[in-house]
Amino acid sequence: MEFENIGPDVVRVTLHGRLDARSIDDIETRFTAALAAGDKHALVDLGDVGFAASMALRMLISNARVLLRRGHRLVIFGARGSVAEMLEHSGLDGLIDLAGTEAEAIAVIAGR
Amino acid sequence: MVTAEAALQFDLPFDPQALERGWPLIEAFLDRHAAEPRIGFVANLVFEEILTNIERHAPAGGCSAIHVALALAPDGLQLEIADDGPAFDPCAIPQPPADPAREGGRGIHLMRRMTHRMRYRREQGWNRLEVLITPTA
Repeated sequence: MEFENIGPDVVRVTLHGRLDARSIDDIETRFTAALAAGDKHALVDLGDVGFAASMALRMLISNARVLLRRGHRLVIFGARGSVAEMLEHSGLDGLIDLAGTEAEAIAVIAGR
Repeated sequence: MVTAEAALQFDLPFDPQALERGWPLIEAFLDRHAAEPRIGFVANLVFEEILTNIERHAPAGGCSAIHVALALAPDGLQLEIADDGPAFDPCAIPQPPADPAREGGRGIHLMRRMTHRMRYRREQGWNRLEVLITPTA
């Protein structure tokens, strides 16, 4: 997992591999702490994620709610194949935005 | 691409390592028979959601064993997961509320949406969940 500030108020978080219950246990504290400390919009890159289960959604939703309360957004981009299909079925409308590319994700933030 | 029917069955004691022990057996079987990537993804999702659910909700010692049966055919994967825990019918769980801010409760909803068919029966003290997973959505 990597964090990179890509603007004064936007951080990109890149996740890798499998987002199953065990790996979420491993990364959630660091993921949540970094987003809370940054106080920025978050773009989450799932382009290198091959599997995600409901525990990953729970982590993303929990953090998106915190960001929303501070006037920021969490946007997911880059998801492919079944990961993208799973996100589409997850009912995240209004809470988390889904974008195809990083440029589209930045446009979502800019349009807010 | 799957060209003929293949099957696998195995039993596992249920403990916190059941997920880590069971999934590689399923994954190796699907790889061996060149199952479509979507079948592997959804099988993994169902296996993880069911075992995680037992781990979180069954009382300590309430579930001692699971039995897994797979049948792979060109039209999809039939996966049955049986456990001897307390009766729990995931098909009877209502759809999650429209509120997207709700953090939990999405696992069973996702299983329903991503499988072609999901059936439950309680039989001689065992929960038996059977799903059909197709190669395309």
